[in-house]
Amino acid sequence: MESRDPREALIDRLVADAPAVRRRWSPGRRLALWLGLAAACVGAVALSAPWPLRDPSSRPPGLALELVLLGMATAALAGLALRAAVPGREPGRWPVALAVALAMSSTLCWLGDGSAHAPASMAAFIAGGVPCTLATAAYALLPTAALLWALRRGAPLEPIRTGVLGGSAGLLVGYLIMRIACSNDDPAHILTWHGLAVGLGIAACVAAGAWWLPRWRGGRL
Amino acid sequence: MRADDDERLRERSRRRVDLMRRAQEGDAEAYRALLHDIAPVVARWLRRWVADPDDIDDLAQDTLMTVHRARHTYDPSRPLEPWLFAIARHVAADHLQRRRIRLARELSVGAVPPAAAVAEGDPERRLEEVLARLPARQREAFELLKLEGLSLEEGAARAGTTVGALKVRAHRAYRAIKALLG
Repeated sequence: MESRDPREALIDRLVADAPAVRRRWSPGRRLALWLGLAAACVGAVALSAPWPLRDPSSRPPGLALELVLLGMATAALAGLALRAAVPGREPGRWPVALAVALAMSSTLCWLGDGSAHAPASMAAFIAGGVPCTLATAAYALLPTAALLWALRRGAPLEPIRTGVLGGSAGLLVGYLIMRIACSNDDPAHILTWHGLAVGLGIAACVAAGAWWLPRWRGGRL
Repeated sequence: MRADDDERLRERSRRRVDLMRRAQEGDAEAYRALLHDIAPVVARWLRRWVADPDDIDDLAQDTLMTVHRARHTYDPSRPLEPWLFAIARHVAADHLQRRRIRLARELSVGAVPPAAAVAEGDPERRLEEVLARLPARQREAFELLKLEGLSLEEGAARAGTTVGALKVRAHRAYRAIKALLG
């Protein structure tokens, strides 16, 4: 029996299984759409927050700058994640390092502003913090899920890295919302409870990156 | 002459973009022509990273399958080659990583030889044992040049270093192996 060249056989199989495909929107266009969703989430919470939280005079002086830095870091990370889902457009180390540095620099706005105060007790610290962790995670859920879904529809060649970038962007939205909605500006509270939600969320995105994002390569031909 | 070559390359690149655009729209013949065009290019590109011809064939086929599954992400306003070679690079890197893990596992298993093998001085096992004791970079240089039989240039490209640095690592590896084998 004559054996066929395996490469020719594969090309025949690929051609036989090649219906028209819908091209994905460019990363820039998808980023604009996602930022619209994230801005709607932030706007909805900011507008529904009680007046004292929206009153600039009752909040730390560096909060506006912090929110701007967080917003820029969120947009940068989401853009990098969307690029990472397109072969040949994966971001290098420096843009990622810059986006992370931007997010980290936002903490400088409150680390030295004198908002720290010792909690009455450890029980009060925990009781005041756990709802914030849950709320941060809840606010981050929709933007994170939407971004991971968009990434899954691409072709991320490095799924864990892509998942972490996307997850970080989504979780920063939750973190940013909670910086508006939470009245406790104590750095220890923010680092512990708001940061905990971000850390746990990113860990979940590592798992999603390892397990769910590579599935675009699966399936039999 | 060089200008002619450049123009020919640009023309070929434009043709690939057109074929891929039509393939995305469901044109089977354009897709077939594209796959026939890129398959040897991919295999040639993989040859820079992988020495074994069987591995190259397998990886070229993996690359074509990945191209097939990712074709919806290609943007026809951009050249095809960066998109294609990013996929090929990823497939090759994945293969090399798996191979490195497999090799490390085999060496670590071989590093504790059964008493009988040591007593009889089984040369293969002794070499594995000695290799396992070398620093990672020296071991890699030895494997690339002596076990895989790559040239200095190919080995340096694979190790991501210069020919001179690879020579030094290999020389140190030979000296260490000689000393360890007594």
